[in-house]
This record gives sequence, structure tokens and C-alpha cells, in this order.
Amino acid sequence: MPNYEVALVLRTMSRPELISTLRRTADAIFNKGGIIRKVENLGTRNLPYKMSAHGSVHKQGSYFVFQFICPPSSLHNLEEEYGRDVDIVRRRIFKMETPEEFECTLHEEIKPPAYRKDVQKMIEESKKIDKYKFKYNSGLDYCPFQK
Amino acid sequence: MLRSVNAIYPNLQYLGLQVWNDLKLSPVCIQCVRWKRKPRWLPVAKSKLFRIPERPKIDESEDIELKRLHDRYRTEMRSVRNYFRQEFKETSANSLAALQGSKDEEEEHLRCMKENEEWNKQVALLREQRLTKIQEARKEIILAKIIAFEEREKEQLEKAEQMVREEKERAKFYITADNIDKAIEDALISPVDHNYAIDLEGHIFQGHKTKPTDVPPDKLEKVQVQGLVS
Repeated sequence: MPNYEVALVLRTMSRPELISTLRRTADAIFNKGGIIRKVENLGTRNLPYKMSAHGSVHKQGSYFVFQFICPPSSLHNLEEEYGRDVDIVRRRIFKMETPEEFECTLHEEIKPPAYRKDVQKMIEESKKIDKYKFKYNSGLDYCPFQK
Repeated sequence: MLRSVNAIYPNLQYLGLQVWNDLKLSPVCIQCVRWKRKPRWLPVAKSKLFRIPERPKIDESEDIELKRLHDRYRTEMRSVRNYFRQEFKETSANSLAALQGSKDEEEEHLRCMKENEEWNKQVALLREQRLTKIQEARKEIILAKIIAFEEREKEQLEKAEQMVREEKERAKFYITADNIDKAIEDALISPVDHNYAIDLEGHIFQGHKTKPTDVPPDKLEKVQVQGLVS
């Protein structure tokens, strides 16, 4: 089962209410046959803009992230269930992908172009290309006609 | 019947067409007439009905000469014809020469067939060599592909097994319905902030609203850049 991540914006609530809401969202995952890997609290903040959800306008929200494993077929139901929850302002499920490995080449990129290895390689390649030259096939090493 | 133009258009000049006079031409107008003298079905004229045309008079000596020439022509033609007939008989299909010719042709044909077969054998040999070469090359390619495929499969299997192993290790820390309450409690107690900022010297400032003055200078972290000489 692949890894997913649900980002939630909950409305501002008292602590017991918040706990019960989180418990509800977690139970939804468990009921679908999923397992939670990690629960992250990103704090309560002012929202970037006024959000209206379930008939009320929110200016503040508590950000939470659940990392979980779940069968892909149940994702739609999960999303819909969260959509029906009055305490959830925004929710979005992402698929977690392992970040691509890359090598930092900043120290190479900072160099002036003439010292960069890729530029040197390009110059060498451009030198290698032997362009087509017309052959007169006249057996002479000069052009007998006016050019 | 031919008539001059003036006969048909006598008053062209009065019509203002003076072309003929200007060009000084005397063209002929061709008028189609069906019978030149008289229709076919008309009988001989009464005046000519009993007229007997005079027999042409040929000179006697000339007549003899003509006859002689004619006879000579006929004998010569006959001799030539006979000669050709004889020749044709000799060279026809049943003649000896013709039989010999056909025999030669047959031999030539057999010889050609033999040579052709030899050539075919040579070409077949070359083809077989070429084909075996190609086959071997293809075999090698296919074998290499099979080996590569197997290796890939093996790698994938290993990867999958590795993933399973990692997942099994992680399974100890899974949050299930039993320990979800504790996880929620922990999360509420310790909010996380993944935001950070970097200044021009490469110092990292963790947090969403951290100001540079908030961090004491001896606790500043620095970005690790590979190979960068500061």
C-alpha cells in the first residue's frame, strides 16, 4: 500500500474538541484499513485568506498533517468523509514520493564559464565536428576554374 | 469544279471588301460537285452508242521486243523463286543443318544449366554462411537481453524486498487505533515548523517567524555546500 499524506486545516477549537476531531479523522483512516505513520501539528495560525466552510467564515486555523498508509481505492471515500466533517476547513490528500537523489553542483556552477567542465566538453564537441567539404574529383590540388 | 472567286462574289468590291484586289491574289474557290460529267445511272449517249474505238496499233518489232522482255522476266523470276525454294528446303526444320543447329542449342542449354547450378551452389553456400552469422549474432543479442532482463528482475525483486524489510522495521512505530490518543497528545504538545530562511552567508534561521536577532550568533547553523571554499 502506498504512502499518503493528508494536510488538514481545522477550525480553531478548544483542546478536547480538537482531540476528538483528530481522533475522528484518524479513525476514518483506520476504518478504511489504513495505518497512520505520523501525526504532525504545524500550529494554529492566521489563514492566508478568509475561508468559508460549512456555512461559516474562518480567519484562523490549526494545521495538521497525517502521514498514513491506505489502499488507494478508499482515498476517494476518505476525502469525501473529511469534506463532510464540519470541523475541517480544508483537506487535501497527497501521494508521498521519495525525493529524487541529486548531487549538489553549485561549486561547479559558480565557476566562470571557461573553467566549467560542461562548457569545456561542449567546446571540444564543437571542434570535433568535421563539416562537409565539396570534392572536385579533378585530381588537382587547386580549382582550375574561376571560383 | 473550280471557279474563280469573282464568279461567286462578283460584287465584293461594292461591299467594301477590297482584300482580294489589295493582296493581288487569285485564289480558287473549291466547289464540291458530286459527278464530274454525268450521273452513274445515265446510259451511253445516243451519239456514242455504236461508236467502236479504234484498236491501238502496236509496231510489230516493238511487240516482239516486248514479248521477249516479258518472257525473259518470267524465266528469271521463276529461277529465282526456285532457288529460294531450294534454299528454304535445305534450311527448314527437318534439314540436316537445322537438326545439327537444334542439337547444338540443346547442348548449349545443358551447359548453361550446369553452370547456373554451380553458381547457385556457390551462392547458396555464401547465403548459408551469412545467415548463420546473422543467426549467431541474433542469438547473442537475445541472450544478452535475457540476461539483462533477469538481472533487472532480480534488482527489482531485491528492491521490493528491501522496501518490505524497511517497512517491517518501521512497523514498530506504526500508529494504530490503540496508540492514536498518545500520538495526538504528543503532536499537540510539540508543534513542528518546517519553515526556514537562509541569509547571504548561508546561515539557517529555523521557524516561520524567526527574526535574525532572535538567534544568538553562537548558535547559528550554516548550510553545508559540497566543495564550496568560503
